[in-house]
Amino acid sequence: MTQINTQFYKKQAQKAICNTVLQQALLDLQNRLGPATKAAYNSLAEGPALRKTAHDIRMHALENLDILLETLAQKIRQQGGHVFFAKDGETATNYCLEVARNLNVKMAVKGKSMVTEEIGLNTALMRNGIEVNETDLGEYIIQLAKEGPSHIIAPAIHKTRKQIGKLFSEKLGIPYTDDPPTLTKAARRVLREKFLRADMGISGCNLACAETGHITTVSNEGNIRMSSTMPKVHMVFMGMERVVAKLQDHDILFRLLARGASAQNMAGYVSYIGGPRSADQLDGPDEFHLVILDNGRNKILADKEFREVLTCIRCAACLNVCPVYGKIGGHAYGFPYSGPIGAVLTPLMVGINKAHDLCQGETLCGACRKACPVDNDLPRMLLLLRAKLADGDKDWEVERNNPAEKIMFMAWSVLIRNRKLFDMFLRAGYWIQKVFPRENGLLKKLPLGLNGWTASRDIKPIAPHSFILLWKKKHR
Amino acid sequence: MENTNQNEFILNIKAALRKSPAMDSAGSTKIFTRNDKDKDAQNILVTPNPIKDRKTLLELLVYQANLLNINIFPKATTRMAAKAIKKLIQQKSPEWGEKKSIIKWKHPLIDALKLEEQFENDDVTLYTTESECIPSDNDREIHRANLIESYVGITSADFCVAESATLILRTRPNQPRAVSLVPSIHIAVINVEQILENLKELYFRLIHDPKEKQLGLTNCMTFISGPSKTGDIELVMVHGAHGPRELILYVITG
Repeated sequence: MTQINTQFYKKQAQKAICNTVLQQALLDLQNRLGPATKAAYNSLAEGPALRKTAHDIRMHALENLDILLETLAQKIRQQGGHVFFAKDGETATNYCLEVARNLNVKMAVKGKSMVTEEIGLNTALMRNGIEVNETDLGEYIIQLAKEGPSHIIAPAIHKTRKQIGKLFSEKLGIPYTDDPPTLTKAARRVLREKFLRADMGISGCNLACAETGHITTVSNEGNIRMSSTMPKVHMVFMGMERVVAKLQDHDILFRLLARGASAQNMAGYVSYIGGPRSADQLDGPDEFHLVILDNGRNKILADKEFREVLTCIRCAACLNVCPVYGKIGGHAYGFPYSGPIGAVLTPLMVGINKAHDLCQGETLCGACRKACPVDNDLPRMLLLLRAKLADGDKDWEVERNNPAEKIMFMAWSVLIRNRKLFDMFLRAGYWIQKVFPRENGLLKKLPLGLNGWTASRDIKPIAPHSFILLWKKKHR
Repeated sequence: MENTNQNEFILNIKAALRKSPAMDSAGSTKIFTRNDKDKDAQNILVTPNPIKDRKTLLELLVYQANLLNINIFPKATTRMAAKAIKKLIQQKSPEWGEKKSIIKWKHPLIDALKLEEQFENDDVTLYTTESECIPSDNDREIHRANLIESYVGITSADFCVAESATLILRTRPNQPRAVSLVPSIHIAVINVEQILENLKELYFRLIHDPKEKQLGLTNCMTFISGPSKTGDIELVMVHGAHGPRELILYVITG
């Protein structure tokens, strides 16, 4: 597993909110992509209701995952590829290292793949002396800057062109410029040489097709095509849920994916890859390896309430509309999966207590569900995670997040069921609050324990008499 | 090693789905059966498109292609397309180096262009990706070198989807996948009859047309909807990331 920093959520979020550069970048991103995606869904022949069909397709695939994965593996092996089932990140990276060792791999090129970030593949390869080059422009930029991605689709969105210009002039030795085409050209030149020299190409898999025995890759830059064509071995990492049964499912899902991810009709490049090159082909990799990863997904699959989250196709449409993500950015989530999907998936993967801030920090406004191309009910699952944090849960090994809160609510429950006691409580509060500072008739500061509320807002004081008492008096 | 991992993995999934381990995959082909109502739409499988529809499809394709920065040129004959290509090569300089090299597929439509004749007196090197039944390692090395040297790659396509201006390319012997990828400029030449209306029709044909079913997807099928591009720097769209920075499409209308 890659490094988990979910415990720094609050601190990182506060830093992000004060970062004016980041704030502007996130604002631009959401202003641009949020509405554009909505318009793109409306432009579908079937209309936005297609998302529900897509949801059903994905759920159906999950319910038959055993069959689909076995079929996929069988077909790919028939076509000359290798398929390896990895129960966790370590097993997956060890397999990759073994293949690399056997083939004397010194340098690898990589397309953007969230699953490889999840398992910390790059670190493992580099520790074993293999040079890893991220080739997606955004990933390349953050690799040079030694940072993590802040968005699933546009990993370097938190960086301005000036920052990137400075970075390139330092690391690549080119004269400073902040012109995006010039910067892109510089990256193109550097990475072209890497593509042509690399011993191994690594990619993720967008949605495999079990019926035909293909993985699919989706990009706009062409870097994944380069990584999966030029080096002599192509290694694919795939979350076990990223598969559909039939080719006809792809028609709907690809059209939705492109709209959800970047408001396009279709992504620039989509490749169906079924294995290594055949003997009669002039180019293509000699070897093809598919690593199918569990790493906590099976447990999610087993829980019928959370199974739905595995329908996600990682388009980041939810990030582009989330008001919370729009303020705190991706780094606050402390794990490669950020935004609303991250707020559900990360706790399920790394521990609900450990990542409790993530699911508690969302507003439940529901924008994510509306934007999701597969109609994932993230708000429902966020609430469910919070319920588990409040009450504890044996299956997911959740401890009560705030035992004091439980005690407080138990006391409150006793209090409000007894009218006399409640009235006494109100009366006491009325008198005690006279010592709290006021302004404009509102309480400015409550004592320790309740000061969370008044840290950023005022509160109306308790009235001398409750409405019920006043009514009773008036209508005696 | 591979198999024990797989067995355990699949058993875990079966357990998660509350299926008994003994439940085997035989009764499972249900998940792969198609909807019956697809059979009703067999009339979609009229190949090629009726002539009156071709004009509309071409117009739709031109409109979409222009939105996506694809340079699209309908040409009445292959000869006219060939002349246009010659003019293009004269105007465009290589991105890396000085030498003008072109690499092209061995394909009936591209052969019909007779490019060797067009460039007879020009200082342009033409490579055709024709190979033995089973290319040797040496053949592959030469192909790779030609590929890297060429600044223009010429391919045809299996289909072109008008709605999203997407070219569909299967990989075949003599029609390698990197020709549409490595050179800076990708030129694609297709027939107007190859234009389909939308992705739905494409997938329908791939699934139901006996001819397409027999071909299958091949081990590498690529959908190309424009030149390579990126928006990773401040969401500013830049063309020419890692794939070709220009995509030029000639449609032979006849």
